[in-house]
Amino acid sequence: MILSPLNQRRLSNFKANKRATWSLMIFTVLFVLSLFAEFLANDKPILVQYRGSYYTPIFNFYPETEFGGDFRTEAVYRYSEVECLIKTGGLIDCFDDPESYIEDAKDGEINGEAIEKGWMIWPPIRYSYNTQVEGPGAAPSPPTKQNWLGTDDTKRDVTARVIYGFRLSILFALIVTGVSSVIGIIAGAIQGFFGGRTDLIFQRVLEIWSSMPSLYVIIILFAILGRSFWLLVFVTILFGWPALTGVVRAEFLRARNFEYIRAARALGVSNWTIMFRHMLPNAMVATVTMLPFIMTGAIGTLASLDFLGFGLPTSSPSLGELTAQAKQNLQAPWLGFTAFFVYAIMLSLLVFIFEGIRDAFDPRKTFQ
Amino acid sequence: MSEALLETKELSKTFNIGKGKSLKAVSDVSLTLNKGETLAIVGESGCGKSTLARLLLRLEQATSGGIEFDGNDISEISGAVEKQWRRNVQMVFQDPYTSLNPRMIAHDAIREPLDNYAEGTKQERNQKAHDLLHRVGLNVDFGQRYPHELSGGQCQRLGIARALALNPKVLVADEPVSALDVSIQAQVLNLMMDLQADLGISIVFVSHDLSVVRHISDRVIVMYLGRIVEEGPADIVLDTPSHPYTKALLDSVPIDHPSKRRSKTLLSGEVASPLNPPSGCAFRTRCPVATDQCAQTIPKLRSVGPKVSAACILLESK
Repeated sequence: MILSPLNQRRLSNFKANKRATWSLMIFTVLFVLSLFAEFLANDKPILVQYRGSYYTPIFNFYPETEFGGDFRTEAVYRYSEVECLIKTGGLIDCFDDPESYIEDAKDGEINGEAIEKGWMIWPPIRYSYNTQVEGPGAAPSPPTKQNWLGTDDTKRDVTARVIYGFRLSILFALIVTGVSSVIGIIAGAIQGFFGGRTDLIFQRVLEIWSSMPSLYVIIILFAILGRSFWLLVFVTILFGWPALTGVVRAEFLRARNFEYIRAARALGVSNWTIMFRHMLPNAMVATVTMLPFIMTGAIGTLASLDFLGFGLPTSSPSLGELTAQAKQNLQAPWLGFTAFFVYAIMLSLLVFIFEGIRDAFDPRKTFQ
Repeated sequence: MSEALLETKELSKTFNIGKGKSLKAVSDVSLTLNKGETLAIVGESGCGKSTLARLLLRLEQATSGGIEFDGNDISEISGAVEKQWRRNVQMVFQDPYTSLNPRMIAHDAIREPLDNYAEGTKQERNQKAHDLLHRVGLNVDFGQRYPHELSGGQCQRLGIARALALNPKVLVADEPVSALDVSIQAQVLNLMMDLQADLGISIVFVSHDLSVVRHISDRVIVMYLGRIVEEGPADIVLDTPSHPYTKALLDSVPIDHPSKRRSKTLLSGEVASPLNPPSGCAFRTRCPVATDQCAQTIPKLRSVGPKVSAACILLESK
């Protein structure tokens, strides 16, 4: 990809900002890792070898009978019986004393008889966001070797929930920011470009729309339609898009009297082309400056709704819900610390990155 | 002898400026542009020259009156018809820097009109853009430069090349040289005259600089507060002006030789506000020869000499 000289200068401006560059790198690593959360934290192994064939439980459904068990429901790979079955090649004795048979099977034979040895590759964390942790102890239980950040009040592994919750928050924020800025830019462009009566009417509609109490509308809608991720995305976009219209409208109002816009019009260029080829690039600086606020705002909205209990369905991995649990379980400080640090790190990284981007787009710095 | 190409009939443009007030920028302007001629529109700042230029290109919609191009009424056209018509009339702007998109290289700026009308293949368009750069005397390497990497004169040449890309029949130049250095002015003016001689296009040349007008134009229209006050061949109007305003305007031009200096009738005061124009003749508040009669009626443009018309009741009709 060849960048224009202007964008090259912006890129070098961004790179000159060490804090932003490092934040971007750390954030990218974290985000990419969280995209593969299923391979990092899951209650199913990544790869199983059983009697010479390979199985990928994360992508496919295998009943327990597949591995010589009794049930036709999906195999629960965490259970030692299933582990024993896989490692011993389906030895029926596994149901009596799985642990000792697993030990015994390590040398490839049991009681002198050769077996078809199998194996499993597990993700580093053997819990998914909704896996119930077995074993004694009250929930929430403090961090242990297995549960790095402890468990929450329904005995789910906090580490796994944080990984999935981070992904969900970022994806939510990205979708909301992307869609609502596209809508906002188009709306602002139409307002600013045509001006006059269009602008006047549109502006009044916007005033009414943005004075709606969005939090209540979301709560009411959820009560009627039931909670779901995509409904939340939709409603957040519905109330989020006016954020950008103001700046884009202002930029377009300014740009429409530029002479090169007149020239383009005299050349018979269509309104749409003028708006998006000639005017929008010049409005991008103001737009980019606004984007971080929309993105962090979206994360904040999701967190506050989840915290209040009006957000995502209860089974979803939600950082806001973790925060709410931390408040209810002050005796379990690992919940509070985890929630705090995850939010603090996530939002700080984003703020540092966007600060760098904004400075890189600053015309006073770009044209030095 | 010559054929009318662009004609306006009592063209007016009123801007609403809020609070029920309106500004009459152009009033009842009737003019004719013939094939291959250069028509200059002169006048002080704020007399409606630029608005008139924009009306000719239909960048502004006229409040009343009509525009005819090649005998066809174009004041109401829209859509595809308008797009096709736009090829015929092009504009060169006053400020060479702001008339070019700062994010487009020179080559793309010239190619845009060609792309817009999907002329020929992509290669042909590139070739044509290349030729146009050469045509206006720009080094072809400049095609890869951004406007801020070019000088004012080079930008203006680029603006002319862009306007010529579609082979227009009329070029409307809105003070094309007033933002340039004097030495560059001459280059750009000569370029425009050469192009006119080669391509036979008509030029509407809007200017407030009378020496430039004398150099380039065949006919002159003098405007004051949105109205035409005098019209005629450039040499006659500029050498023997009829209307008191034209006289005053010419007197304000410095003469480079002491012995040739005339007695001056310098104008006092400001141009009357177009928001609240004086009754009768708009010029009467500053006119050295105004009488009470001037306040009564708005003077009509009428013939006052061979090929010359003026709007002043004190001049004898011929």
